[in-house]
Amino acid sequence: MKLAMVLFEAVAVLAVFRLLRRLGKNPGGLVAYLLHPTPIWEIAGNGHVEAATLACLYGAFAVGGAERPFVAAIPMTLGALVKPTGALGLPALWRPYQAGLPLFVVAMAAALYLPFAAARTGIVGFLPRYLEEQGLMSGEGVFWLALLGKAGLRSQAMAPAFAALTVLALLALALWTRRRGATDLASGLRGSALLLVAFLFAITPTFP
Amino acid sequence: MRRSLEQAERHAIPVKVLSSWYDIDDSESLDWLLAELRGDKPPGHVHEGRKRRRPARRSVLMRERSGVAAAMALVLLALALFNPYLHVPADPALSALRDPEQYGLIDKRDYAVTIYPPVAEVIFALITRISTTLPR
Repeated sequence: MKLAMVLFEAVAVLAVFRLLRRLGKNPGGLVAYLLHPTPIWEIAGNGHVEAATLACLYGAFAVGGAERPFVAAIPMTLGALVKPTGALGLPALWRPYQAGLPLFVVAMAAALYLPFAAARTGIVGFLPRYLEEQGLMSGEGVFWLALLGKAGLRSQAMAPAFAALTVLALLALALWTRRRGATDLASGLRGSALLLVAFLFAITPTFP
Repeated sequence: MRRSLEQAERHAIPVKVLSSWYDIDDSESLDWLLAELRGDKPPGHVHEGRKRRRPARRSVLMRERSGVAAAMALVLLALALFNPYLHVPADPALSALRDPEQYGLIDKRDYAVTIYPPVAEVIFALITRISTTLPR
């Protein structure tokens, strides 16, 4: 499993190499990525499946990004169906107010879930209980809400309100990044990076 | 060969015809193959007392029965038979698939079905399928 994840990481690195060349940047910058402890520790060491998502995400931009939205949406959707965080790259492929692409993504996801349809609502798996166990439903596991809790300012209604606000904020941010419908690579990567950072910032856990 | 096939057909015994050089007609060859399948012996091992290299029985057998398409078909079949969203790891229906060493390391095995989306499940199944064909 770890070897397979390292191979996915290799695909991601090759895709980043291609992206840097297309952006006119020095591919030598990849050294910083390769020597970063996170992929070494978490992918090579622990075999986390995020490597596959990253390979799909970078691969989607490498095969054309917003210039070839339907082609790029295939690896991007596959990546999102490995780890849902990968879905945050999808807005970068969308042009306002294109309906075909979201429908294509939804149809592809539905087709890939179809073989497991016998599980009905169970196709979300352990997710609901996981959210509960991690304190994401109560808000105790979210850093910002836990901080309010420490100050004695947190109420029960805050967790669902925070979740709703986060979703709305991410949607608004996605629309803002795509307001001009830019199809160039730099805009797509910048928008995706912004969405990913905003998402991770919002749901920062209370883990040490 | 023809008579063997006829006999097998008469008794409804499934037959797999291997390459013509792939000869397992004595206990030594059979033991060799079984050792390779168990992973006790590396494939393509040089047989003692013989100059030529023995065929990599295990890898050849695996190649014959599992090309990429066959491997994918098996993965999809396995997922269809064992829908990961329907079974917790401790489900008796999955007992035949268990690696005792790994099974002991699974936490929440009594109540947690998978949390991963379908493409992740296919990747896991494919990696598992490929890893079982590799020599240990």
